[in-house]
Amino acid sequence: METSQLKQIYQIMTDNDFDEIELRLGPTTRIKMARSSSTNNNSDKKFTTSNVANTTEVKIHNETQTKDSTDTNKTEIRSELVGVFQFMDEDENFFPKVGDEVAMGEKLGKILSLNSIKEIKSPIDGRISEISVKKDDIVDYGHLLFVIEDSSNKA
Amino acid sequence: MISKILVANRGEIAVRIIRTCKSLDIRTVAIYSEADKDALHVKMADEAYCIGPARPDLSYLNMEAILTVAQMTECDAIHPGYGFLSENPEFAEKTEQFGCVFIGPSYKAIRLLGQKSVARDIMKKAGVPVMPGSESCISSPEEGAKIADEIGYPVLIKATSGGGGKGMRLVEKPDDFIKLCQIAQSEAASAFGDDRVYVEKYMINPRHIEVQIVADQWGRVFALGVRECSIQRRHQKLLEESSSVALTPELRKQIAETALKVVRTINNGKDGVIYHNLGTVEFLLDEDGHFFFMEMNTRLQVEHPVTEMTCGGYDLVALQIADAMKEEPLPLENEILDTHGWAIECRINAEDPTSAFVPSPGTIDKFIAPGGLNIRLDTAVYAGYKIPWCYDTMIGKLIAWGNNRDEAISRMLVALDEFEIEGVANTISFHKYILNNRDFYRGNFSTAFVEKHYDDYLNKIKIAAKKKG
Repeated sequence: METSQLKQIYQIMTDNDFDEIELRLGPTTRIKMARSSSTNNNSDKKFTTSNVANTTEVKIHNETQTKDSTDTNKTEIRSELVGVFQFMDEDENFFPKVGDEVAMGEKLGKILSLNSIKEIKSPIDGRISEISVKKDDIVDYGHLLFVIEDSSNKA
Repeated sequence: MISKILVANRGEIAVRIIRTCKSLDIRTVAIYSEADKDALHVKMADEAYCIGPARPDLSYLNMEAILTVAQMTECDAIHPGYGFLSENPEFAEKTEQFGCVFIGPSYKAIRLLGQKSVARDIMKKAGVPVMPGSESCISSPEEGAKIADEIGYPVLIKATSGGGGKGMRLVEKPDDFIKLCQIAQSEAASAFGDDRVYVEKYMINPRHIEVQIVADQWGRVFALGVRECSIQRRHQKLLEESSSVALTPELRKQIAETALKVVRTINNGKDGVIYHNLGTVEFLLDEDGHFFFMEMNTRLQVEHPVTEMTCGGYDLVALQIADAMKEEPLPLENEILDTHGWAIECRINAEDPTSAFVPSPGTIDKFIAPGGLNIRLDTAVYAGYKIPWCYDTMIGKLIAWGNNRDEAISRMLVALDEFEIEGVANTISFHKYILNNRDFYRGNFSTAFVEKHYDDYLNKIKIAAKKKG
């Protein structure tokens, strides 16, 4: 493979925010490329090649659960799966509203899918600055649920 | 009654299924991955839900997420399209358990025919011709080597749960057998979770012929013409036609009858499986007109439009839905349908044919689609669309119909000339080469066509570039 093609693959990774790509290009060649996606640090890229069995498999790794919003003080909580959203039930005794203080790990709600329940917890100590979901909403993968303002980092 | 369908797929096939649903006044639910947020099927469906990141195992292969969406949106049925979960018996079974209709054959039939060596054994016992080889799977590489010695080299080692060339090895001489068998076993184990393999005689330069089957839940089975799919590159079909220049009318009838026998053999089995919905029975044809059962695919096939174009305009997806409704027998009468005219399909992929067909994902800057009498384009792309890196490279399927093969070829060449795609490399020039090739025109080809003519294609491209420059 030529350098220009490697550069092209790296561009694809950057465009799609992929952390790692592994390409198997036939009976003897495997190319694995990794980069740091969160910082987009180009110096972090690495290429490796090795001999493997013949296959055309392509593996791509890229996962995010929570990420900082454009405002560095705020953290977005997004849905990790598709399902029906509910706030914690009455036994849990918590119905969050904008302005509430929450502790790291505190339960904010849950997403019900076919065979599982995913609890939504605050990833930081902070204050709820936005609730982007209502009870019984169908939420997609990646749907914005809450925005939490970091209480330890007030300017 | 089916009034709402979840389409568990992406790309052109999701668009194609949604179109038929709209024409039948059936509502549709699309699923998509983060990489497909701008995809056409998402825009066309009545509802659409992002179910995961780009990685197929976390999105289009994520049964839990797909069934959750089907439940939340109160779908009556799931259409799996082709690829992804379309031939996964576990998905078909879960869909059924969950109270939704799986648009395809029963999970029992999918499971039975997914075991290639089992299907092969059943057909052999029923008198369907199969390539000489091992009885079921081999117990060790040494046993396989003995069988290979008996049937004669070259032989193919094939994974019983295999597909797409994975877990498959060609062995040309005895010294290589044990080593290649172990590689095939370990590849099969990692790809399919099943390391069992069987051995089959390898036919040199065969032609790939297949029969489109439609069957209903009343046990009625129909053959809707044959397709030839010999123009392939590394087991991936590039160009398909219906019918085939390799078949005399008598041979075509024999192959269709054999395909019907394959399905009836399943229906007459002890386990009470009735094969219904669509299926494709694949055969290898040798130079002397002998054909051998290879496998049966239990889904809608990529190349199904050439059958639709030559079989009086039957919409195969509509037939699938009609079968899934289970209300009445399918509206077909003759077991072997009369076909009319000739159809050719060219798969236009975002691959660079001048550079060993390396994938060329990226943004399509310009897209001018061909048209005209009896030209069909099944696609999900548009100008400005970005072909994702993580899925197949298909841009679209261009299909041309004519009263005869010459007319279909002429129309296809005009359409290919009209077709303009900029921004990504594509296979249009290679299709033009095939259609202008003398061996192709005369019907003198096999699955080795691409390999045999590739250097000639490169030379012609170079000469054309020089003339231009």
